[in-house]
Amino acid sequence: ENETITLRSSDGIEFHIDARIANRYTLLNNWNGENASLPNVTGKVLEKVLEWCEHHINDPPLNYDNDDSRRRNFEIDDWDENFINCVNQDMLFEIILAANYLDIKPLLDIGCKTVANMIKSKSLEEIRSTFNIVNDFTPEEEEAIRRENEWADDQ
Amino acid sequence: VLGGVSDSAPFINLYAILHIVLAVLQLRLKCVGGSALFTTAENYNILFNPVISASEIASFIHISLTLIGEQINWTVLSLLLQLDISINLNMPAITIITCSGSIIMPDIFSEIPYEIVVKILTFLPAKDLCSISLVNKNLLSFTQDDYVWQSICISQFPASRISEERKKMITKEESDLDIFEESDQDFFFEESDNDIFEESDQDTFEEIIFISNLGKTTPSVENNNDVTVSEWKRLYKRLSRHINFIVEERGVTWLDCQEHGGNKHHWRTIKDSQSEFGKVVCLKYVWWFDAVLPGTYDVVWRLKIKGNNHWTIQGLNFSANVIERLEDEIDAETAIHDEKLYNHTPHRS
Repeated sequence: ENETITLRSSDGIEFHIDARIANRYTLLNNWNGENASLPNVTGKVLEKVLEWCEHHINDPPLNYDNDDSRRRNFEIDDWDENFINCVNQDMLFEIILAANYLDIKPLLDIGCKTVANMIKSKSLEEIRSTFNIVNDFTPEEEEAIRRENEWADDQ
Repeated sequence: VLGGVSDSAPFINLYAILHIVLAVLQLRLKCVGGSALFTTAENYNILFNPVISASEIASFIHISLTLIGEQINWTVLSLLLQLDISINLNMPAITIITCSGSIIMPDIFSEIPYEIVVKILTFLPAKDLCSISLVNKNLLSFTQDDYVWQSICISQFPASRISEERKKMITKEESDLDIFEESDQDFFFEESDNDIFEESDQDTFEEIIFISNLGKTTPSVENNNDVTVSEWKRLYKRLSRHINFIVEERGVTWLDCQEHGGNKHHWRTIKDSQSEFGKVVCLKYVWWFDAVLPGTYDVVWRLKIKGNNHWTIQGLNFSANVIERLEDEIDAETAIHDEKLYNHTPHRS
């Protein structure tokens, strides 16, 4: 039988997880004993993160040190795409922050790729409305930036 | 009105930063004779929640300084805030009311950590990265950041191409502009030998500062209205130039020809953000193309070999023929040009 450990989220919800998950993502490095509290991650977010970890528990370990992994893979596999598309934008960023905090690099990558896809090939106004951003440029500033970026228009 | 800020230790630093910002504001305004806008710090209305997060303060400072046209070194600021303040609070965003009365809300990209925004941006094609610089000033500061362009170069081009092109870039600038001192040049090469680009969270900020210093060796731009261009962005332009040339001058017609006139049983067009053309043709059963419209073509191959978990690819041989058909002899295959065998042995399995 697999060893389990208990994780407690910032809002006091407890999760009993397979110790292999914790070992795999170096979650246990800073902890002692079998239980741990995560002051930065809420129960709702932790639940999603653990759902992802459980699905990927048998993935081969990734080597992030070699040259190949630095040349990034832009694709998201089907399960992950479905997983990440089921959450709203707030949750998406929460998952990204949690993956960063918990050092789950593949999940962090998936989150970041998803945000990049939300930006990709969109108009300025679409990007602003997607992320609730207010345009704070003067027309003169806009013109200067446009001039600088002309080279990229034909890419 | 600054009110309700707690007296606990981390916030002393926030106070200190705010004082600096307000002092800068006043000083700058005196210099440009803008006293009608803000005469004193008290006239600058800032409504704070009792507690504020580092990223919120960062966005406030950023907005304040850009309002008065002060160039901000975003990376240094992030570092400052990361070191001094480690707050993780679930507080609603603050609202900053500017002198003109318009309300600026900190956006999500100023609330999440710097390195995460960088990571997101490295998954964008250069075209999108340039266009987001017009979204707002916060995103602009990211698109001018050397570290972002460095990550993009590394993620899109092989290391050998990058170092080759960097050497060319330095050599060219030495002869054209004579801007690199001997010592700076050594510095540059030294850096490409030691692999400082390995991803390590602890080193991230050291790298950033290092790169920022590097950027200072560039000559100042004559026209002040011009946007500052980072070293690595210029390098990216150089790396992508030959691709631009093909797309601009010759057109990437065959993909489209195939799309409209080809036989869909044999191939399909799929989107691929890693391809400079944005799409690739995936062959299903055959490996020849016909139905290309008459015209003059450059033939470009770009092969992507996909293995799966159990298979590795070794010693792949790739051969290709160019077969030409003349316009007036549609049925007759007329000549085989330049039959070449392309051997490709991947250097990694």
